[in-house]
Amino acid sequence: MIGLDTSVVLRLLIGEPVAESEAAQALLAEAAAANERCHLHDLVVAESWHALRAHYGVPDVEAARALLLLVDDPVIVASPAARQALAAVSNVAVGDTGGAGFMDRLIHAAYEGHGHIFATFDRKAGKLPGARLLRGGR
Amino acid sequence: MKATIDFDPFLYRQLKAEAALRGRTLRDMVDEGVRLVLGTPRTAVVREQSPPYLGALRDFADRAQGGHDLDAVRASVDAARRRDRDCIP
Repeated sequence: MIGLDTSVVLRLLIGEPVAESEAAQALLAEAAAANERCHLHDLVVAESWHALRAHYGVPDVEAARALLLLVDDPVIVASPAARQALAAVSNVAVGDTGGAGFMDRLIHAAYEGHGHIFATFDRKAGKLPGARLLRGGR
Repeated sequence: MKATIDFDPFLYRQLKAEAALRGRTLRDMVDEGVRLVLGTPRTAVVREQSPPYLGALRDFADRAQGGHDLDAVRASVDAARRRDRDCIP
């Protein structure tokens, strides 16, 4: 199993610098031909998400859709939580910022996968299924 | 023979639920799954020539402040985090 870094993800999705993007593509093609898989850790998905938004100015929905396409490549192994969070943000209407964000959804899905209850003070995240919204005071 | 396996939590919960529905033990289910995999010829992953995500966000390449260097990427992420932190009331 090969573990991919954020830099590899960015090169694949942005396509620049061209030489590095081609090297990244070749790595995945070689892995597929050898019946190997490439692991995309949740931390890498999260860092890629931040990098796409902060450095490249990619809107949330477009970033989520591109990452989801990558996660769905048969050569890629990613967590069900990452896929679930990306799919949820992909389906949000463009410009709608009312719901929980990607990171909240990723954390929520990861805890849910372990059968844990997601506890938060964040009102938007607190609306996620099964979440426990905490409040200060008595 | 005993072995310790670290399951994906989602997969394990699905396995337990399916075993209960079928009235079978986890061991039976794992045995059957392993036999199925071992009886299937190895096949390489069939990939599209050009997966749809390749360069899918190329239109945003020119927006990169400081180019594609990873230090520049991290600087942008740090700056965004500082802005977000400053926005917290």
